[in-house]
Amino acid sequence: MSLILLIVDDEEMIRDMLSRHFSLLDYDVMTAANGREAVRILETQRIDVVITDVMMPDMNGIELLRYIKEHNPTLRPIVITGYVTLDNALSCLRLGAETFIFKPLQDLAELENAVNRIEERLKNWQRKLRELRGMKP
Amino acid sequence: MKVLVAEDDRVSLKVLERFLEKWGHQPLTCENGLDAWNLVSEQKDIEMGLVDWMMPGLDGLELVRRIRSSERSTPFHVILITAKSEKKDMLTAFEAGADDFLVKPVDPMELNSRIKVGSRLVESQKQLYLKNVALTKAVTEMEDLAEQRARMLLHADRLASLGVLTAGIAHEINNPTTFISGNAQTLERCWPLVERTLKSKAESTPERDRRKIDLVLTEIPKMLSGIRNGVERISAIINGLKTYSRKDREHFEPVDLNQCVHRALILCGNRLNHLEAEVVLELDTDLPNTRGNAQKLEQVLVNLIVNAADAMEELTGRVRPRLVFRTSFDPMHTELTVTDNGVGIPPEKLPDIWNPFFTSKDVGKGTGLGLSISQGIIEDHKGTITAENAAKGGTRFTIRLPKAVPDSTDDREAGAS
Repeated sequence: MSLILLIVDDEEMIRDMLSRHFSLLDYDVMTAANGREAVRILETQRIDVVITDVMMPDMNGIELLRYIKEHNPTLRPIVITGYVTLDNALSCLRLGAETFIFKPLQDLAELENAVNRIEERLKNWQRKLRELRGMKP
Repeated sequence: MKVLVAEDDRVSLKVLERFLEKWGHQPLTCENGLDAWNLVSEQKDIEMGLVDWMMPGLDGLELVRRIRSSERSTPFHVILITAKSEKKDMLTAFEAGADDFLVKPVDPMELNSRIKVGSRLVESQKQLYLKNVALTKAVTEMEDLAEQRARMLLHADRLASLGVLTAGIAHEINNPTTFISGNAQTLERCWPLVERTLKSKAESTPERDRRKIDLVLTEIPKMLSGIRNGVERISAIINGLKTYSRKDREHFEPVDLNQCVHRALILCGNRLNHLEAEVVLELDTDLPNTRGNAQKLEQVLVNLIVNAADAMEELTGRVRPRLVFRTSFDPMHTELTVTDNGVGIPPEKLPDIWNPFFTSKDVGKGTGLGLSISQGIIEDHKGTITAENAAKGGTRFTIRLPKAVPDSTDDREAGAS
């Protein structure tokens, strides 16, 4: 079962670039141009990893994180941003972000590693849940 | 007091001269109006004149008129002496600009008294004049100060708009750079697959077209690394600009400059070891804390060390690189100097080194933002940073920062926010 990524960025070229990259790495990728679109997808569809920009019109990244923390608390979103203030960074931490990565993403490996960590975490939980089912009488 | 005596009658002249000397004055005599005029024009410190009305050439009345219409800035008290005793003559004399009027024959006692009155007037005029000069000077100084202040404000305003502008530019350039960078990286990952496919296709291709495929096979990796290189440089500039426009005043706290030096040296240790540089620490162990942000100050030091290393590297083999750190303090400030023995900065370039994008390094090696950012950081700390060429060659940077005030409320407020 391959992971489903949701990429949220108001810049189309960045969405395209990231979805191309992760598709080539065999992930299923969906995209949204702002927080609002992302929420619509999250409401209707299983998503394993969210990669989101911060500054976006119509529901920004921090607001999206807040929504996710409330409605999809198992998700650990990855924040990519060009400019981060201390306040923003602390909000990301409090709202359960996995990490934040600075644009211009000079090394995509950092982003891939973050996705891998989330993947490992999910697999670990799946294992645990299977074990739990096995233990049931 | 220097007193001019203009009198065409030699006997009277002599008499007046004697009396003046007796009363402690310094008489300057002449026998006609024209000589008197020349004397007064030349010597601005003649403060009083005893002038006979009737003289050949230029008469006393005309002399007084000339003196009054000249632009003499020092006081000059004129007593007109004459045989004319009519009231209208007196009025004519005062009208012409005489200060006093004596009728011949002159009574020495009266003359002495009148000279004393004149002296008092001259003295008070002189005081007034000096006060006026001082006042004019003060006004000029105030105007200069106001002008300087206006210039500084304008400069600060320009810097502020520059900060806003650079933050905007950095942000706008960031996004396109992200997708250039990302696409190039994805392309690099895909390249082995494309390369394999192309190579196997080339084998079954006629010689003529094969050359083109071979060219693509050798050139595309170079093109990719060219893109990568460009992105790296743009990223470095963007990062510089971001620091440039950020103000982190809220993290000010007492900082030990000596510690900053040690930590910056740890960060740059490799570079200096590689140069086999001698690092001399003349750090004052009693140095009081300064107020600021330790990381920012370390960033400034790292900038200075990297620049020094570059400057010293250019002299490799000729002189052993030597980098001296010295800290000291006075009642209000702490001071840190960093002196290298590298190539130095040409004197005519010294004022330019603080400009953003000024660099003496090879294209692509430096962004030209290091010193500009450093200056911004030090100014945020209400300090100064200056550069000069050291006496024995090389460059010396001096950073002066305000001393931390113990228990400063400012610190606590800043820390709490």
